[in-house]
Amino acid sequence: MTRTLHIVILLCLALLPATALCQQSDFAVKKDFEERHERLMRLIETATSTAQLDSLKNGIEGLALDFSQHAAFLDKALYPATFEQKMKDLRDLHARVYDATRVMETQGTQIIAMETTIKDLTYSLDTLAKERDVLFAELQRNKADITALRETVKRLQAHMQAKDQLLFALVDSMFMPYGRDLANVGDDLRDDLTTKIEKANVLTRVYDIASDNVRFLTATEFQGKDFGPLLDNYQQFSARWKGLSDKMHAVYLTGQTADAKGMAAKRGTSVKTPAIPVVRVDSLLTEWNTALRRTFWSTIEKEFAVRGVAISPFADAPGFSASIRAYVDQVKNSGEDASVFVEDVWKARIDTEWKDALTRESVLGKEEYAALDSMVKELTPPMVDMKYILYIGIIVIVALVLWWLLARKPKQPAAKPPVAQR
Amino acid sequence: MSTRCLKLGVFALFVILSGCASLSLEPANYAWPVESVLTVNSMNMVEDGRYALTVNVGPLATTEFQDSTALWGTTLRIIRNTAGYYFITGPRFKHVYVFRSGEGSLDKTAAIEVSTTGLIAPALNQRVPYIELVDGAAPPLYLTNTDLVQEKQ
Repeated sequence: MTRTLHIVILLCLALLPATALCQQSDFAVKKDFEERHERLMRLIETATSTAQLDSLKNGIEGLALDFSQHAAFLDKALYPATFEQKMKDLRDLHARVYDATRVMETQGTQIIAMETTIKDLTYSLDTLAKERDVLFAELQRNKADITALRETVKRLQAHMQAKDQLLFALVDSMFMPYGRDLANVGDDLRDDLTTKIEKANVLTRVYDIASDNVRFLTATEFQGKDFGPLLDNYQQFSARWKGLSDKMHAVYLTGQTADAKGMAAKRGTSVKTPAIPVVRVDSLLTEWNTALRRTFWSTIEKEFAVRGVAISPFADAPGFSASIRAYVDQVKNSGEDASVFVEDVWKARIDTEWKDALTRESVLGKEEYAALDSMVKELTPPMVDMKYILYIGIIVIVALVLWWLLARKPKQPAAKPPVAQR
Repeated sequence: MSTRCLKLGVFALFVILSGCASLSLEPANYAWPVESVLTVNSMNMVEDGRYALTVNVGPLATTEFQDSTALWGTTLRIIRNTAGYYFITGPRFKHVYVFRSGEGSLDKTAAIEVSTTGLIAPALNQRVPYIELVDGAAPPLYLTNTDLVQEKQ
């Protein structure tokens, strides 16, 4: 009975497709699949063109076709993976690498187009550097002549803004072809970009611009209206630098694997890193910000000091608010004359020269300025504005003239007595 | 009275016997879907990562080749069938050895002769309820845990 059962089972096995019964080890099937899968993965990962990837796509489909008959066996043999899962992994990897390679091929064209722009921008920046030296020298010469000094300050300010914009245009031109996701840029392209950054001295130029601004702040005296553009310039530069330093990190650090670092350590060489220049620029930006704030608040303080208004010293926006509030309270309590403070300093200087800078959100903000302004203006009794008197006078005169003209209207001639008929 | 005592005695015996009965979980399937190909190290040990099996094959070398070092550096093919028996063979083997797991050991239950001259490149496949032995171009053989069933014509 048992023997019959065995024979029946053997017959069933014999009726299976030839491939299932061919004298092949299941282990060999599994190993063959794994080896082909692994080989395809390696080839996909190292592919450098979409043409290569197109032919590898056929390889993936061939693998799926060859082993689909063993799918049930492979599901068990590859546990915890499955045949479908392994094929999906391969297809997903292919799709990812294909997209990245296609983008790189497209970027390659854009990169060539951008080369000329980068050259032009670099030349312009070098020209501007020479002009800057001339302007700084002029600034020193014109210290005695206030009008000439103001003119030079304006030109230097405009020059530095232009240089700043030009530099970031250069940086944008360099990074633009590589897209947003720098982490996925291939090693070759990353090396190209690194070379371009170094060739164009990007970090040195950024450092120079920040350095020029610090130097500019200490080289001359500013007026209230100068500070609006100075604050804007710092804010814009700082925001752009933040973006650039992130990109720099993405370019330099993404490519550095632990292995690369280990190998470099073994060879006794250092891994290429922008850490030190980036830190230098960061620290210079802090210095720039400190110098700008210090100059800004000390210049405002002078407005009060030169007019004999004794206000508590301040070095920042909260300090300024507190000083003004304290002074206003003091005047209210003591009843002293605040006309110099209100008219000569606040209205004539702060409200006209400094309002633009003070109302910026990075300084006092509009609300706080408006609150201080209304507090200060409450200190003086409301005065009749001569302007309104003039308007009223004009209206009265116009009314009188109209009345006079109407009053002068000729009277109707008296009716003539009827003429007797002859 | 005596009938009542007899009933109580039968009941007590039933309770005692039912408490002593062994617990069996059936069916259980031990089959490995694919054989493991393991290399014998110089300590005569083989280690399988997937099924966490480590075993000393020195006595197997002595039995098959009369030389305890005969298997050093060679590969052994091991597979387990549905009933839980281990089938072990390798190149130059004339037998497929069948083992069952003991306490910290694999205990031989059969040595099935499969070749008179020695296998060349054997491989074991799971073909429930059999283990299939293939060896190059030779026709496959089907094994149970006790015997060679039949050579495929």
